[in-house]
Amino acid sequence: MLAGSEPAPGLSGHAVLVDQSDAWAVVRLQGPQATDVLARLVPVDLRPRHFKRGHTVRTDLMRMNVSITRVADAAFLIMAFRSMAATLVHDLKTAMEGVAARG
Amino acid sequence: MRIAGRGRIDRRSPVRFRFDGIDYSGFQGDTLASALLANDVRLVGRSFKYHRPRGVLTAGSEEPNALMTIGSGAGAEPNVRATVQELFPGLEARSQNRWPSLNFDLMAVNDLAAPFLGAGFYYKTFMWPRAFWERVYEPVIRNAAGLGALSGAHEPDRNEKAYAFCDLLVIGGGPAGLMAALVAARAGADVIVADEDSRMGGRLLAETFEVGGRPGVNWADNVIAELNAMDNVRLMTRTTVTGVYDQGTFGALERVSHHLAVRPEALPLETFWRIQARRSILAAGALERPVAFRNNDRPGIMTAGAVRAYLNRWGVCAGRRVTLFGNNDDMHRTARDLLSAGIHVVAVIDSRHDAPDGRGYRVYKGAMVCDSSGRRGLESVTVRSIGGEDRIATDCLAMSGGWNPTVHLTCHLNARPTWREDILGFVPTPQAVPGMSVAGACNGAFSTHDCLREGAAAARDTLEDLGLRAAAIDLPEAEDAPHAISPLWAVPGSGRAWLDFQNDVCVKDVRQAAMENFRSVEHMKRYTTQGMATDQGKNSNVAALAILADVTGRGIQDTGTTTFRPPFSPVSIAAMGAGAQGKGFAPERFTTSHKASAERGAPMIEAGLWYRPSYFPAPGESHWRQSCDREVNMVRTSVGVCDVSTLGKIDVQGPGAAAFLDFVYVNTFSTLKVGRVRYGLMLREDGHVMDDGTCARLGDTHFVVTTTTAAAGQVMRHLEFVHQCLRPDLDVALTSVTEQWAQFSVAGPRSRDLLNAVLDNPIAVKDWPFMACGQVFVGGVQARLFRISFSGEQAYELAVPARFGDSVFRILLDHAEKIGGGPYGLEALNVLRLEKGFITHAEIHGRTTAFDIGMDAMVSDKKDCIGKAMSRRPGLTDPDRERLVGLKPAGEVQLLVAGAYLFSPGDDPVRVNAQGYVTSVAFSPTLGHMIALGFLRNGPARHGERVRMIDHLRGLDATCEVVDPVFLDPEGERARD
Repeated sequence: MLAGSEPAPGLSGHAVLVDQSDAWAVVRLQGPQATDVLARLVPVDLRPRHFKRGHTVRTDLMRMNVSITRVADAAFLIMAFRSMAATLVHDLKTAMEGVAARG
Repeated sequence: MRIAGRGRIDRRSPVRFRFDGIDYSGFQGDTLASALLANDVRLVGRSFKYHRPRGVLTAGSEEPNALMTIGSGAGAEPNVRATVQELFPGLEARSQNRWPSLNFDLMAVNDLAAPFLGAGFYYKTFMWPRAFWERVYEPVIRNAAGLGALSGAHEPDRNEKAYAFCDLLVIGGGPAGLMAALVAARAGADVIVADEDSRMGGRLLAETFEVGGRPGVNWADNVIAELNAMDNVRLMTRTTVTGVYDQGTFGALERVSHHLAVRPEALPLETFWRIQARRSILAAGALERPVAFRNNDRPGIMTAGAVRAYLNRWGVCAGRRVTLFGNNDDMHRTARDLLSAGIHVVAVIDSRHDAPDGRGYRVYKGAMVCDSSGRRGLESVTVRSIGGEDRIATDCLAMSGGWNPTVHLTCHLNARPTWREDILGFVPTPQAVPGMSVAGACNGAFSTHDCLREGAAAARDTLEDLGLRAAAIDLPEAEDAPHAISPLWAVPGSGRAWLDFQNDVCVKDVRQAAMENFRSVEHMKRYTTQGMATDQGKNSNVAALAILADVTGRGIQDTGTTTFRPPFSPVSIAAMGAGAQGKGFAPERFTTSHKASAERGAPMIEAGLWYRPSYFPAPGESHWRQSCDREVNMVRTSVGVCDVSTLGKIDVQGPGAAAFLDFVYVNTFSTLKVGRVRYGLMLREDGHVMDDGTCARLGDTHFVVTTTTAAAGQVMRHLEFVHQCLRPDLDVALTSVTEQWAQFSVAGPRSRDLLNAVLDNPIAVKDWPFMACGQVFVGGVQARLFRISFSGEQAYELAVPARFGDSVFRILLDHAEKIGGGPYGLEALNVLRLEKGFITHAEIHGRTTAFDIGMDAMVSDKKDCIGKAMSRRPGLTDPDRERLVGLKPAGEVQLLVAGAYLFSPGDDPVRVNAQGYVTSVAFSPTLGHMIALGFLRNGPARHGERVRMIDHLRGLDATCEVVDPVFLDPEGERARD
């Protein structure tokens, strides 16, 4: 998946290019406890020493198929299907509230 | 009673609580059990079968007697162990399994019927008369069964699930676990320590031992403080590791807020963790065994270790005149602690002839307790020795039959433990769980020194596996007493001697099972129900199988254990299913037009995970049929707009795309011209129809396949499988574009007019014949237009990138309403397609073939395709198969019902005479009566015949005429206008 720039002109000679710009809902989760929040939702090891800045993974967030990338020390870019945006925000919000409530 | 100067409770913080309607006071740090004992409340429950009065037996999660319901209302929780429930202000607890009260329980009449309620009694009773089973026995048994009761309301509390990863999981935070964690953490490993208790320290919290020259609890506190300060350590208290699974996966239940009087709204009650650990160390300690003797179940009879724990940790003495009984040194340890607190020790009854002398208390050597008295609370015990029988007045008996290492987790992957005769206990078998080491009491090493040593050693071995280096660690000095024990499983004599307190299983029940030839431990367990209660036999397993071994003349290792399975202690389903309640069960999917549809008051239905509008009520309409009929007429006379974005859309591109589609569809797509659309059918490999849809050719090597909404994922998976496994030779790429495009059906005689009000360049009839497709522009945005029809009217589908969906939908409706058109929902969509005889998954429901639905001619004979060979099996081409027909009412009853069966008039309407069934029905406003599609034996040859449509469940009987499935415009001229 190529994100953030137009594909190079000659690329279509070697690959099939399908525009997905409208197909994904994208959120940014950030804060010192971002990893703890995602621990409630994602079955993959996202600890900083293992999932470093620039690492990306296709995995589940609850029951949604997502793409997760660590874009900064304490920030993640999360992409889910556009139609599931409401569920994505709801699940993240619930997890954030649960972590925050522990103080 | 409370003892001054003892215990780690906070005496500055009194806590008020209520038990069975009476208010009491305890302290912060108490459990419900310790607080009740401090208030001299000995009677806490009634046993399951015999309803005998029971008191607290233990001080831990293995407690079988003190099971209570905590709280009230929707959140009331049954079967909570009072020994685990932390006290909080306002806690409300109620005893269970008694009526009308704990003190006076009518069901205690069962105790009198005991001779008839022994092992397996339910296999020998409730047989006659047969009619009584359903009406009498079952309801009575159901009422009597079980302990606590659920509230019956929805779970009001929030729960959570979570994942954790580490290098080393240490299970148990006692001396062995803390030592192991310290060694590993100092070497830089990522460590998680989990302990089921509210604080770490394990047995050190209950003992008066010194470690490194200071009280054991202080040593523990120091280690905990050091671990807490490390970034690479996570200490999880109130967390029980419940199960061992494959490849280093562990389940663990964290009881996050059961101990809080006021819970912040977002704080979960429990969190169920899945922990992935490269290595693990089990340091789970050991559980003390009771001794079986006649009437050993009275309130006031407890394990010796528990009596010590209540004294040392909670400053509570369970009695004023304490007697001790058992087969090892533990009773003496308890006697010494009691004496040092000024409590009267009546005697220690030691079954060993070589028992040590008591310092400050009397010891009966080679003696046994053989009976007790005091129904609602212990009053005396009878001691049998060489000299005869003595009766001793006592209000608390502390018994110890030895210790069982807590081996359970090592057996979750189907290993069995190993018997050790020297400690009279089972220990884990090495390598029972790959990557797991064992240390301390759960490994049969009972002295504090051995626990520390084994913990450190296990950590060092683990670090080597992980490629880390351990620094040298000095083991602090600690007691190293040997474990001297002599066998004592049951005191000989008549009467009932309890093994399983929770399920009321006695020694005589085990003997009876063996006598009736249930000699294997698996049979004995099920026949007697020993070990099948919520304590999972923690208090009775070893004693029961020792008795079974004795009775059947085998050794204990030969008799063996039953299978240990997760969870180690009970886990609420609410925790394991956290997040999945109600709508959380699956993601919700919304179309780009959802908001606009909701604004118009359209009720939604669920199609797969999608929400789609059912109909759009106009002002004055109060019934869905009014809206539906109006929308159908609107589409047939003007124009309607419907969001069809939810149908799967799969982009198929590449030099091999055409050949690929020829392979998965029954008809040919390589011959489809660019700029054209064709309807296609896909079969499963067994020759039945999998899905139908249209496929558009946008370029030489570029197609877009559509699928039914609910089948999108399935078809995508199917196409991927075909490409990867069956035709990897084809150069083709598959991409789901369902989300990328918002797509709207524009249908009706005025559909072109509507489109031309919206498109940048109006379309002319000759440029867009029926089944044409291509690129168009809307407001400067590149879009796609497909001239296809599911309504049978002239119709198009307009696709725009999803970000423009809401806007385009609103614009279309604006213009539509100016010419007598508007939005239509799924009800009208269904009526329109039914009037035209178009099929949906109601007809291609998985058991129909192309032949059945009348599309056999579509299967190309010039090429192979998936399912073609299997579809040619004689049984699938028999004309007498149930085949697609239309139906309309032909008699007095004008109602048709989907799911009804079809019979020939004159045939008895029973299963063997069924001629077919009805799949879809609707009222057709265009025709003025109900219409239906269904399947009928040899249907196409029976047009004009009468059949009986019978719905046996609803008692409906209607005469129908069999007709062509296409009710309207059979030549299809309206779509081709």
